[in-house]
Amino acid sequence: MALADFGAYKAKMALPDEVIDFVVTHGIGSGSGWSSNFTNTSRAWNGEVTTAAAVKPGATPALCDRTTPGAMGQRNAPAGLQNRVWLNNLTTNTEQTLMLVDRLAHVAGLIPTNTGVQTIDFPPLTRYATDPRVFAAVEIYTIVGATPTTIVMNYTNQDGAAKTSPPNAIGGTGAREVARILPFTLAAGDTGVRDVASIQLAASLVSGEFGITLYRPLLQIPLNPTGDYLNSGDPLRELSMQMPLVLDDACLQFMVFATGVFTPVMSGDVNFMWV
Amino acid sequence: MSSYANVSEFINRKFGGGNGLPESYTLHKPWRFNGGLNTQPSTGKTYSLWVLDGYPGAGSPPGASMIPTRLTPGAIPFTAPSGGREKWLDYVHACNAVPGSLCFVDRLFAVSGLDKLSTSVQPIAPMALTRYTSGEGNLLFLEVYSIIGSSSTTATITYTNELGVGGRVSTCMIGPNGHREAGALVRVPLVGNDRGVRSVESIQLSGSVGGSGEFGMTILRKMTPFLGDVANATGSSRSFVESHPVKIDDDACLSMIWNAGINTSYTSLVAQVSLTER
Repeated sequence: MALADFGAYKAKMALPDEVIDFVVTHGIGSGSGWSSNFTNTSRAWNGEVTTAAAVKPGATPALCDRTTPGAMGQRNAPAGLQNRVWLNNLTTNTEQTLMLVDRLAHVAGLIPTNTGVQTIDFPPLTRYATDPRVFAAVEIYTIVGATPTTIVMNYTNQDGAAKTSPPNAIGGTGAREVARILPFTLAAGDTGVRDVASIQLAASLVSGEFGITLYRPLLQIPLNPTGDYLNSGDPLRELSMQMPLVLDDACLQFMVFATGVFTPVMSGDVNFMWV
Repeated sequence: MSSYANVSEFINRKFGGGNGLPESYTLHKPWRFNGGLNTQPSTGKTYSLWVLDGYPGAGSPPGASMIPTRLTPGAIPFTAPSGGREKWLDYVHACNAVPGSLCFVDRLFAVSGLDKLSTSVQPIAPMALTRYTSGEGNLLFLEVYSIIGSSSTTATITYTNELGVGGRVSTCMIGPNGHREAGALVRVPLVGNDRGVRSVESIQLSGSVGGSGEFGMTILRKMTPFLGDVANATGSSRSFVESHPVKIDDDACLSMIWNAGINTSYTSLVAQVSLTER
């Protein structure tokens, strides 16, 4: 249900239906790019911390939901109401862009020394099944080789057609570290992913472990360590009312874009509004 | 249709009221071309991200003269408005690991496959613009679709200005670094008091550029100001709530252009666009 006006917006913002506080520390290491906090041990939702071993996906492709270990675990909105999310009271020790995503499906245990086709085949998505904005990415669980190589993804695109991605970079500084997220680029003209059938490495990564994650970006927030207004997360003033819809059973997590060698620590509140 | 009446209407539509149908897209464009690292950019030069790998997937060289649209593969996807409503861009954000600035554009006209070895006049097959048809405010570029030779060459371009006056003659360079890599955009300066481009008529090179590769000509429309210095991971954002949202044509072929702040290839440029209907 849409909020009628600014007054209704103010009233709902003053009393969120749910608030989850978080503290996250990343220790991603060298190089710039995206990282996932899903298996990060230094992550707390409302004070609860789950071990990395408990949340790392298995070798069988699986769907994710709000009960998946490592998920934020928000409540579903009551029947008939939508769940909208925003962040505030954000602090960070380094410049970064914070992305809130709905983690849709994942698999780990892909073999870094196998240069043959490695079959994946996720179960049919239960959220965003035909949404053109689903990303597929390599997610690294144990640091992989130092020599850069490439990986291709055989996938089903937003229209249901079978495609092969261009070769994407993997391995080497910036593309090998634990928790690194490497979004796949798509075949010419494609806009999204429905399923990943298989992947193939061009050369051995020698060691480590990686997997494939499907996710739907929801919110992208620039963060600044000086604690200025950017970190207010105010949806109206700063983000043109970016208060994305959170589907029932969404598996919410953060991804972070930062540069160089860093150990970003960030904290704040994730707020939910049922309308 | 004018823009939002007030903040309350904007809030209502962003929640889906009044068929606002809000949508938001995350875009990802690493400095990769055709499955490999693209030739590094040159500081201060402008690049189209059209042919780069990413989300969305790379666009293709247009070939014969064409009017790109929302459905042209490679365009930033959005849902066409319906019910007599219009599409409005209200927020953009971008971040990168290297210095530079980013702008969102509408690709109005494109042609490629021009002969980079010929010094003859090459006529451009005319096509009437379907958006921003007067030409005022439209920009003209040479666009490189795959890396060409390195012989510095003067290109003489003839175009029609925003008043419909044809035969306007301008020149620019093609071939030097920053003017030859896949994605390179070389701006064609307007002459006299011209304020835009309605069409391009011909091009003539003073010499062969050499090499392989492909280039063409593109008419672009800037839809947003440049997001300044999207480096430092925080990036740069622009909310149009306090100014006013940007109207996007129903058939806009949205893409991005990058002003390189450093001659370094980057691993990841991520952007977000947010649109609503009214």
